[in-house]
Amino acid sequence: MSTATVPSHVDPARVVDWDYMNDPRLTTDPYATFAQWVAETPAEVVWTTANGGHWMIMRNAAIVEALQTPELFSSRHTSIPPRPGAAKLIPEELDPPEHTKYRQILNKRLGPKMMKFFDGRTRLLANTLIDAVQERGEADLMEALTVPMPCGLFLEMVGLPTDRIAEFVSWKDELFFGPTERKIAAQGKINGLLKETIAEKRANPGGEDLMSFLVNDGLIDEAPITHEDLMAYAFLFFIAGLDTVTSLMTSCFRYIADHPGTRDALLADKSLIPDFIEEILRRYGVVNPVRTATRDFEWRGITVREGEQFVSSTILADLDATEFPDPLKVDFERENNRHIGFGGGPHRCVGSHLARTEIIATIQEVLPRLPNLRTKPGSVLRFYSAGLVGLTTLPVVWDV
Amino acid sequence: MHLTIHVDRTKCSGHARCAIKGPEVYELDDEGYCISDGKVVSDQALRTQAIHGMKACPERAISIDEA
Repeated sequence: MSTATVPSHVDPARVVDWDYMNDPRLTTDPYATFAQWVAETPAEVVWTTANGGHWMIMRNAAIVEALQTPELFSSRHTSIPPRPGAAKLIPEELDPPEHTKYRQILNKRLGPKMMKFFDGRTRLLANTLIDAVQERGEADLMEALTVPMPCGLFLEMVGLPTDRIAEFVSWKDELFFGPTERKIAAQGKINGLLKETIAEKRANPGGEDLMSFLVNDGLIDEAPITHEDLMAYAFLFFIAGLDTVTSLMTSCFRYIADHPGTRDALLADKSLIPDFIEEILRRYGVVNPVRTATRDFEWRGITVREGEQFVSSTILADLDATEFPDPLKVDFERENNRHIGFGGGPHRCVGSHLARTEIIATIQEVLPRLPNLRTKPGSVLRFYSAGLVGLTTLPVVWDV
Repeated sequence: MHLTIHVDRTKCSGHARCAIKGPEVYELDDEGYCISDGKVVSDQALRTQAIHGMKACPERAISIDEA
């Protein structure tokens, strides 16, 4: 254990070497790894020597508090260590009050009362995607459904034709996972398309999609939204609404494929699906939010220096036994499942209502079309685990 | 017996879980934020919804007084 990355103001009793991005166990079962850290933590807040040294918050209540306190815990960096370059992701890397004005407009357009637009389109898209594979009796359900689905919804949001899904998926993969030159090329293509889209919406107002609204009717500080900010919003929808939704949707289908009893119960009573999704999100969380100290302060027995970073993981928070007894047990009737899978505080996932709408509708449409859905025997499932956590493939079979 | 609902609007961030668990008790504005602060619930049949909605809030923004 390197002592070089332990600042002198950190109590040695709080020092661990946990690496939330590179621990070898994460690719096999990130959730069990997190749950173990929660159970064995020497303190509510610990300092890890991994990744250059940072704090890790290990209790649900403390994580909720951090997310609710942007004055101390800034969102200015979404990674550990911070991404080089000054340009901030909008609105993810903003703090109130600047954050608030960018957020308000999205709250209205993505609020619970606006979900009808997306519900119908999700059902159409889900059926189109399953049409392509139903007769085969087998597929990687990520490739066939849970990756293209949110891509398709993204295209709906920005008012682009959904026949471009495959192209978009490949750009997204290059952007998130490619080597640097490919990342830059993908970024250029995405930006190019978004620019064209914005120009098209200006020229042809009246579209029902969110981008049309932002371009032609959206106001920030009572002024039309600038081109730069429109691009930032579009980029936000792109990066925030794809792999996150894919991860949760995949976890839902994986659980169904491994538990025929659950599959049958959901088929028999669709009203069970929403609570099912909430418990899957609690048990198989998706995001490890990062926060950065705005100044020196004392908090819950620790001394913090400005600029120090925290992992305030919502995945970990939802596996905390002090909040959720028997946390690794999936229990759809868990009372008062107030998980923070969609975060908390001002940065509560603005897409949470859309994600729920999308996943409920997809399960309702898809489940009856894939009888006896189960994981392909002999499959070895693996996870990626860093800022986000999720499966890499989901091979399944069903009866035709 | 009445229940009085208190919603801390500085903590409400629009999860809308209260309205899912207590649809006949908790109302939301157009952005999905709870606007039921101060609401009095006298109907005994809605008691469970009121309590479940409160407990469902991830921000711990809701409390209930009984009188």
